[in-house]
Amino acid sequence: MTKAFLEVFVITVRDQIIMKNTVEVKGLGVFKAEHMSQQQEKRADGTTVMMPPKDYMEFKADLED
Amino acid sequence: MLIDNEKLVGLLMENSGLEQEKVEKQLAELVSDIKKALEENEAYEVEGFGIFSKLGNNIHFIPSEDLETEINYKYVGMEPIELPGSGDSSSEDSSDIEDTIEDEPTSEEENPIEGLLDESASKEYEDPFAEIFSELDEEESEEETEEDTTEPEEELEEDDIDFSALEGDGTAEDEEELDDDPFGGLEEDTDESIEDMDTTDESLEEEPETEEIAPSGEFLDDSVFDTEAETEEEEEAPGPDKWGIDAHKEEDTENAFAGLLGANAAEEDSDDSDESDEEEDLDFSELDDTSSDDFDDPFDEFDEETQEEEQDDTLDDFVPVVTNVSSGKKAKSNKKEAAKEEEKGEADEEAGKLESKTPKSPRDRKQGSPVFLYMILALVVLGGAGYGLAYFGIINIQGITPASNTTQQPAVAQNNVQQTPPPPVETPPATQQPTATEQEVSQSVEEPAATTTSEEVTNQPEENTFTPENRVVDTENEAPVEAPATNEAVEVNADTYGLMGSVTDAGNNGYTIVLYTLSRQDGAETQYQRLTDLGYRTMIIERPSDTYGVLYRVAIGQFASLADAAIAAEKLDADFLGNYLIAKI
Repeated sequence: MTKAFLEVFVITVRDQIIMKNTVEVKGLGVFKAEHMSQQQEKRADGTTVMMPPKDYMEFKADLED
Repeated sequence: MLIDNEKLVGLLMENSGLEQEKVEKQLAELVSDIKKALEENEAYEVEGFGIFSKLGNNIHFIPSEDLETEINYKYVGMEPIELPGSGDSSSEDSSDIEDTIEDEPTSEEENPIEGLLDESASKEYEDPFAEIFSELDEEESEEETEEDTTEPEEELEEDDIDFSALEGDGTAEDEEELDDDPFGGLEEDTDESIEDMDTTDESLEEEPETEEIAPSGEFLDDSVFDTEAETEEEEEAPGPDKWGIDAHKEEDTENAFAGLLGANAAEEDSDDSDESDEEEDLDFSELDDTSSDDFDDPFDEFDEETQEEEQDDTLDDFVPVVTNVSSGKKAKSNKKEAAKEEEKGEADEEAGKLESKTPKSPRDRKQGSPVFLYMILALVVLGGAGYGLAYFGIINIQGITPASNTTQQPAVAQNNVQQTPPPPVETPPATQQPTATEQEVSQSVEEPAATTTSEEVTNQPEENTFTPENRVVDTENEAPVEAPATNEAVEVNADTYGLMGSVTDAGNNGYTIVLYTLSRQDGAETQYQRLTDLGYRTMIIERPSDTYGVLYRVAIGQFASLADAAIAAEKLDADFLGNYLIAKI
């Protein structure tokens, strides 16, 4: 495993996640793009804030092993 | 779309240029390394990607900050916005919203707004307008089940539009579809950016599918706005759309806040649907500014107007500013300016110290001038005192001390001199016989001299142009010559010096006033007789000349000093003024 391969792997998975694709790595798990819409949150001080939307990556491990 | 292991290997092959075997081998090696590390209860970090760690039996992945940012690039910079009327008022608004939502017939059993207000918000919210979309969703779900064969079950479960497929299209129609979502404005950007990427997106190849969906999207969009307009007019609920953009159209959260959107938000969304990406970005920025104006307005205007003045004024007087989100920066800037001023002050003090170390400063120079003036004044006073002393005869200074005061002292000196007087060769004027070759030099005022030759003219300018100073010089030079040539020695008892009277021997060591210089002795004698008749102390002085032979000077008065002679000469008659010279006897 070379460093160049790692860089290519990272770039490839990142691009696919950005494109909202789900990437499955056999034996490791699944990387999935998730989106969290804007939502209201009530803070401890009583104020209500609107949380911005967010795209994030979720990983679900392959627990077959 | 799912990128399975085979597709991933294919992508890795394309991106790396390696062969399939090598890619698979290295990928397997990577997985084995991660698993090996996790089995040893160690975290495994892939640089630029994230950290794999094991929590219990589960593998936890923490993406790196760079990866998180890149994935969330659409919403980077967004911060939570405090809703107006939050706190107590929010509960009232929320109760109103709850009432309106309860009145609406919903096909779903859960009310998403309640979940939000109860702080038990889950990620998935039901669409309050599900009824509105129900018919459309059913139609579209049928189409999607036919079109999207990759994830048909999810689409049906979520009971919503397959926006993942629509997002890949990136057409204006898709944007319009997404306008009901407050963050849909960024979808076009993302789609275009995705298209620009050098990646292989299979969804992009599925354009015919999205094109088929597009007409329904248009219909859906129009219907959505119509329904929203109606409901919003009725409800007039405050809109939470502070970012001015549509959120990502997600299946389970779609239209979660559609009921909360105000009429303005709906209008803005409808306007945004017709605008380009840049305009939408501008709207976002404007709305973002307006949202921040809730905090900034009271102070931003003041700050903008008085910013320059403050920059000048705060240099001298630091005005404390009420701190808030915006003025905190201003206060910091003011503090920075104050700190800079302090630094400048210190620098000035240091510079002042350096200047004080310099040998001469302007003040020192100014302080030196009075001393100089004092010295000048002292000299003037001393000079005046000396003049006064000389004037009153205490100190004898020639030219200053009056003759009346100095007559006695020189008289004593003259007397001392007279004790050893050289025997003057006195020849009475009457005994002197003029020779035939004698030439007479007469001055311009000289009346006689009928026998004068042309040579006397040449001597006249010399004597007529004499100034008193020149006369002094001349007399000093001529004195040794003239002294032995004195002819006067008449009255011994008379005063030693004086203008009038008779010539004394004692006065022959002084000065006299020469009125005529004649080349002929008879002419000199004539003048001598005339002046004597007038009462002057008259004498004839013979002076040898290489050119003219012997010249006869007719002089009057005997004076101890040159000054006395000058004073006496000024008192002569008008006939003699300007035509005399003072010579030593």
